Amino acid sequence: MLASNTLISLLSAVAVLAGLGVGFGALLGFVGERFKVKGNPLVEKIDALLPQTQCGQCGYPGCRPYAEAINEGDAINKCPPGGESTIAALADLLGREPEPLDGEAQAEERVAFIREEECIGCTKCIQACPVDAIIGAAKQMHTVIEDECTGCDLCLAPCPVDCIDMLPRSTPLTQWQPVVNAATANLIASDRAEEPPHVARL
Amino acid sequence: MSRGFELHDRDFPGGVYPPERKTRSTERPLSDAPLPDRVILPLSQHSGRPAVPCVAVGEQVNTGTLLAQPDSMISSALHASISGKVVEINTAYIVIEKNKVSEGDGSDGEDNETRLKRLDWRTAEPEALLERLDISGVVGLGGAGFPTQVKARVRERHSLDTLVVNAAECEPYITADDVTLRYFAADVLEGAQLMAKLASAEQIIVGIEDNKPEAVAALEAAALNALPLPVVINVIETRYPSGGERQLIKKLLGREVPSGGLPADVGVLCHNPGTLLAVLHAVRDGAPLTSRIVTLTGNALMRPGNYRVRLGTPMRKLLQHAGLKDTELNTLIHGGPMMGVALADLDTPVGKTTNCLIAATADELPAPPTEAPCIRCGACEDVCPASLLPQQLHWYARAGDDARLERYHLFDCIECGACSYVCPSHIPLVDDYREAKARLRLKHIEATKAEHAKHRFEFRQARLAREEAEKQARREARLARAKRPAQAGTNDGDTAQADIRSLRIAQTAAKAAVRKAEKTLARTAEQDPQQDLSDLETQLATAQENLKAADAKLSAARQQTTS
Repeated sequence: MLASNTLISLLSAVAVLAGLGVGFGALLGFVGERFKVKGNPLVEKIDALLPQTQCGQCGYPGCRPYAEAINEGDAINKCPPGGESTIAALADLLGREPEPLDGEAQAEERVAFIREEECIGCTKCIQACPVDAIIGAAKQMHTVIEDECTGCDLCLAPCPVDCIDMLPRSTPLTQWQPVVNAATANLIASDRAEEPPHVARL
Repeated sequence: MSRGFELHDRDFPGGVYPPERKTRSTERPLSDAPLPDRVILPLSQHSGRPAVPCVAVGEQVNTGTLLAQPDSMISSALHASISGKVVEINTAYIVIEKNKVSEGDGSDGEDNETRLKRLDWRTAEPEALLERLDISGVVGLGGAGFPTQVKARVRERHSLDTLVVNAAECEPYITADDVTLRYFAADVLEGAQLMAKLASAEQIIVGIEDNKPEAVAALEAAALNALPLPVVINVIETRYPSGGERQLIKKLLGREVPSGGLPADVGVLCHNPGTLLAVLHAVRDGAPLTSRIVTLTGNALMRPGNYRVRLGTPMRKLLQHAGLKDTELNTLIHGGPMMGVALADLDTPVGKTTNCLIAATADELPAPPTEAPCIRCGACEDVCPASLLPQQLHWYARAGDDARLERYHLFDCIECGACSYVCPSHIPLVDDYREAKARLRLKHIEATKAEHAKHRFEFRQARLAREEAEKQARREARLARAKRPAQAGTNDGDTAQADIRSLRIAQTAAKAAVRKAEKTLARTAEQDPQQDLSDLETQLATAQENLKAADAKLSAARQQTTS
């Protein structure tokens, strides 16, 4: 009597636990399928920090492949257009040590410019442009849409007549940045110049 | 006294009491400045995109001839302010020179005016009125220069109940609005009725500081026969910056404009008296904005006062007319002493937003003392009318901590300068904020650009994939046609069926992506028609390319199984 009671309570405990296990397992499985995250969210985050010039200077065909490679453990210092700030942001995101830039940093933003009188209309640069920023047709003159150009240099090499220049990007007035003289603020009073910079006599 | 409590409850926080120095420029009556021989008209005298020139060099223009048309939604037209010949057009400005007059006529040449048809705003259709505002080049004359026609159209997306006439003019020195009201109170109120009609507002409230008794008297006389809406004149205590849009709305109506929002979000539209006068002139008289009232003041002038000035007049000419003492001039300030900017060049032209020019001597507005470190006294917090934490913003701005700046609502700063005014260490706080704001804006522009480049790259990838898939499909079809007579039936049906199923799933997913992109585009276009949609269009095109590729792959696979 006692034995069978114990047996029943033992079995019921096992049954309840097994039932719970199966139930929650099914629930987890369902939720896992239903709310499956497509793609790797970390790759998305890395990709968002890259400058999206699609220049391929990192050795990968575009920013997203490089983001995937970083996620697989590649170095974070292969992006010259991004420069030090991108390396710092990536190091921050991934918890890695920031490394010095592998390659030469760009001094200023540049855009491709086609010297139109020399263009022979070969369409080679159009095929090379990763963001479709060059318009033109076979045996017609080509030109670069300045607003869309990311300054990646990829059109320079295929050009058979070398008629593409990289020129500094023109900055619209709306993006003007005030010039600040941060140096004066942190000096000891006796080290400062007598007169603060101010609009002197007109 | 319940009223006192209510007033306290409605008041905006902070504020300072700088010396007013307004009487100097109100002693002389309003007069017309002499007609300039040459005007320089910048294409960007308003917020938004610069206007696009629509005249050619050498063309003869009259006062009021359209020179440049608005470019896109937030922009404004530009008109000739004197009659003469267009002598220069470049990307930044248009120059007009008066015609040479044959001797005997004196220096004053003719001033021919071109006007549009007069409109009666009481009977005219709202569409006709809006169209008139579009082509009249009227912008907010208080200082920000926001195109008025855009503000008039705000009703399309917000329900409005109150039109506020912002006559507080809280900044020291400036008296342009005060004088406008003294002389043209009835016209200003008529302009307010016009704008209230366009906005379907139910009441008009004039907010004015108690240091302008003459203007208040003129307004009260004009308000007696205000039709059709009643006009309430609310005289408020003089305290800087009660003329800030958000601060005035809080004070008059007790409504708080949400962070990052517009007055329209709380059902209010705010206009400056000068703007309302210009609106009335544009509609009633058909005269586009070609002149404005400017306060010329400061101790370096012999005849300070308010002058009606043609836009584009070089400041040197104007100041000389007001008796500029060249040797005493130390700083020329455009705007007021609190928010204005010091100009480096006396040949700058007067623009639509030039409400005041202060020709100050060295004693009057001395150079700021050397900056000392912040001692965390908290005086700036007490006076901030936007309830921000100026010293925290100062630290973060200097450190370039952009994330924290946004979290501490840097963009709610109205740059009133109250914090810099009280700072015992003489830190130019507002300069820091302006610099940080510009940096954050640029960062935002760059982020959007990178995102756009990414979407174009994705589109290109999708297009190449689609072309490849279509080529593959054609090849399969050719192969199938060649094979059919020789061989019937399938050998690996199972794997092909599985392939088709996975391809069909991919095709359904691509269809869903297209629908989603279409929906996002439609929703954004509906919510904000002014926004640039090209990026969303690229994303939609990418989704369509993906769908085409999936279609091509699927048909290729079907060809294979049927063969």
